Amino acid sequence: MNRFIGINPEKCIGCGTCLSACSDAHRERGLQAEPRLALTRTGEVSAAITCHHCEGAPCATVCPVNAITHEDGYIRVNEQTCIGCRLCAIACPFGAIHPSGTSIAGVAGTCDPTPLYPRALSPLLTQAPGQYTCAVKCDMCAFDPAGPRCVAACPTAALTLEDPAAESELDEAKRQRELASGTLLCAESVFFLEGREASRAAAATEGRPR
Amino acid sequence: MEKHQVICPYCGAGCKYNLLVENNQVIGTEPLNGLTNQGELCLKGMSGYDFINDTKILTPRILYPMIRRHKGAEFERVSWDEALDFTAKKMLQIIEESGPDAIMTTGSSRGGGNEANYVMQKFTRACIGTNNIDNCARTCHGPSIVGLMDVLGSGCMSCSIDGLEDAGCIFLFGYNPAVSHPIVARRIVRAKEKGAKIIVADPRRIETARIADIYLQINNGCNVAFLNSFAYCLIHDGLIDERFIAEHTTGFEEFAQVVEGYAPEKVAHITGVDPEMVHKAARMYATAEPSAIVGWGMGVTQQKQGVKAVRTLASIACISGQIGKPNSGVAPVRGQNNVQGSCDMGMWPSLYPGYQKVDDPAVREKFAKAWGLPVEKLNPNPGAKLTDLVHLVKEGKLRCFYNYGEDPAQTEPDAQEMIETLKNVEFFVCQDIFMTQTTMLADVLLPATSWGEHEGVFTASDRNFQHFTAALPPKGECRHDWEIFADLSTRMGYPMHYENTREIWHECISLVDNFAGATYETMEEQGQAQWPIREGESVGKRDMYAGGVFTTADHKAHLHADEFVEPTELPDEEYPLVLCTVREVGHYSCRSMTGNCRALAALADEPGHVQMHPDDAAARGIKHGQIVRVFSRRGSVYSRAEVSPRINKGTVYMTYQWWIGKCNALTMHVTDPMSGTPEDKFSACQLEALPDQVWAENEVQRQYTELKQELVNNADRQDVAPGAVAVFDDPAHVDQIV
Repeated sequence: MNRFIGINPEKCIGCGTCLSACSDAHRERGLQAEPRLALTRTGEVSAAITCHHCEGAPCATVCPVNAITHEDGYIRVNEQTCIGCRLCAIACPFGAIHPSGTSIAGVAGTCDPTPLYPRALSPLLTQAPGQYTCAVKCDMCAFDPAGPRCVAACPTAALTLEDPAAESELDEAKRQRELASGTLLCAESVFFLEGREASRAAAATEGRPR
Repeated sequence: MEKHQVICPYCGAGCKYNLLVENNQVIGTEPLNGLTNQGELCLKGMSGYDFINDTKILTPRILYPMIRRHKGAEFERVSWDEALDFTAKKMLQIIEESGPDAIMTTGSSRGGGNEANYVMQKFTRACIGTNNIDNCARTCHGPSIVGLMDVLGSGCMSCSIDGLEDAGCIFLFGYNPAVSHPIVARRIVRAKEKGAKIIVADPRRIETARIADIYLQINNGCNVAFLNSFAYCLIHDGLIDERFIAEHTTGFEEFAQVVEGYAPEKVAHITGVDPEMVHKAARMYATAEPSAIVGWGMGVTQQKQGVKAVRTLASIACISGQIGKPNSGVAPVRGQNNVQGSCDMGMWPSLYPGYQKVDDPAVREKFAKAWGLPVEKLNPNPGAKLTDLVHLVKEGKLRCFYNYGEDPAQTEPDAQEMIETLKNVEFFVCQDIFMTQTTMLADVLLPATSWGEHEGVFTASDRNFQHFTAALPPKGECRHDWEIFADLSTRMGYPMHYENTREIWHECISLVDNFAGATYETMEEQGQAQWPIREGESVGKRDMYAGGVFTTADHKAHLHADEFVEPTELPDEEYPLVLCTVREVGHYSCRSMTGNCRALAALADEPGHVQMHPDDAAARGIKHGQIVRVFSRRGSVYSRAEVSPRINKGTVYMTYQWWIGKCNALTMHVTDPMSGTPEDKFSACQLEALPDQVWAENEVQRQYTELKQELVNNADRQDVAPGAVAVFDDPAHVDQIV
């Protein structure tokens, strides 16, 4: 089972430090500076939303150029291979993958673009001439041995690194069986965890057909 | 890679971290185990370092002194000698003709540090001879200083930020810590985890309201009525500490008399909250063990009755006995990294460093002696406030404004009026690190070193002095703030010379008993020094007023309650919505610093947001994310709609960081007469949907590009060396090429 970022809305204060950490971490690596998490604020809940690293990731299934692969316990987008077709964004059940473009007018922040569409429009429906676009999503900061930057940055520890592979109580063989039979698709979609115990409880109930 | 220890230049939490430097560029940050931040940082601390490198994302830095030879002339880069001689001559002439009170100066509550502020106020008082010196606390926690000095004796937090998590109850009133001070909000989350009760009173369902035990959704502008009803519950529900009142307070009878008319049942139509909940909240607060803290922010102070609300809040802490013990009392958490510091340093028209009153002859005697002056030279009259600037210039009483590190064109109410004022003031000196909407109007522009390029001491919101170091050498011809003041003072006939900040700091603390123990050595050994800290002490006081001994003249708390008065500009048919200005989490104040940081600029950019309730949006045909027009009797701006059920109906909220979606173009210049603080939290406005969104996006972009270009054009003048004659091609030819 893949690693993923656990999110506890009880601790989240909606400050967006995770977004900024994510942006910094990827820009430093020459990847798109677009944050790979989003903050959601409903009437009652504040929480970061990010990729669940689904075992049978629909995004990887639909990618026509195999730019999305299952690697070393997470789902990876190769930003160089990606052709920006957006199929993955349509397929993702959680809205955790989206297109991000670099304008030839300059790097983010310093260009003076000419808007061609309202910003309120979904990024899936927009495009700008001359803009190179690729899919971005959480890559667990796999390039960094220190682990996901958002987890380290969250000032209230609302984000945690969940690595079920490291948890002995999981029955690996059972999981593999379910995976093969197709009953386990998005098992890691246990988000809004309330601490590790809840995470284990949720993990134990996985495998129900979706 | 080098590492240099600094204290965060954004909010007043006082977080400690390292700046990582490579090839003379700051390339990152690394949190340290500071007293308040404990190895954590929020996004501004973590990603807010880029601006030092002059990224020019929003606006360029100023690296060379520039002057305008006459009003309306272009900026001209000159040598430091010429810039300072030009300034000195003009200021001396104004003093000669109109007296020292024709000049006003400001302190900077941001990166400059306490030493720079100390030298600035010394220059203002000893050299110019006026008390016309103020700082941005005027527009934020001014009422907290005035109100708390009235009631308790000292205008500061009575507890510590790290102590918040050990209180039994935290009552937040008009304060949104998750946005203003994420690292303080973290303490509140921890307090909750440790079992503290949380009470939140705020018109918006803010982040802390989600974890509150009692959330009171009060109406905008009802503060004094609500607090009186809260005090009524304390008195009538048997929740007061009679012994504490008898031994440590005065004025209880009058206090009780005023609040008698404010039973929660009677004022529910004003406050908008269920009376039963007020009774419950008062009980929860007063009976909390071991202590309770009441924290507030701009929701209290930027109101017509700011000072009165602060006095009632402090009185509530006193009558319920929730003050004078560890982790209790009052927590007006300061907004800017050194706004406590600039108040500590006497950047206040009626106070010398250490809150010593200018109208006290003994105090003047002490400072005159230390500064080598005849006592008559020190002006005994309290000076003018920053919010007096507009009318003093209009009346011709103020001829010179020396603006040190502020951006009033962005941060003061009724921006258009402020910009006119800055254009009209006869001689306008700006000392800053960026070209801003304010500095571009200056007659003299003095480039100072940025935070990160100088060392000094900041005071955190909880009275902690912390030392920060320089990570980089000065850029261009930038000079340290204190060097500029000392040099100018010398040229104006009052010689000042300091070798370093340590020398300035030690002069300052030798004049203030409460700061005397906070030497550089103590700060180095302990990591910080919290005032009050007497000479020879190595640790200051985490909590003030121990045992109910207050710092007023008679050591008692002077209870105050006042009658409720409605806000100035009530909504009407034409302008049916209340406009309340609030803060952006990822940007800071006038945004010149954070707007130049890559990650922060990418997360939130112009034209900002206007937050509204779904019903208010639907009634106007506005959808989430669309650009809308917001207008009031003062002006009209574009902003992006943020439709959220967390917002109360009938009020819209705009953050004041945006230069295009500038809410201060809409706010009005009405102030609390007791503190001079503007009523930024309440004015009337209206919203309008824009049918052509593509046009609107382009219009916002056009305005933004134009403003940025204007700033660049002004800053570009510094690239022409003094005396060099720029040779341009024939303009017609240039046009042809372009």
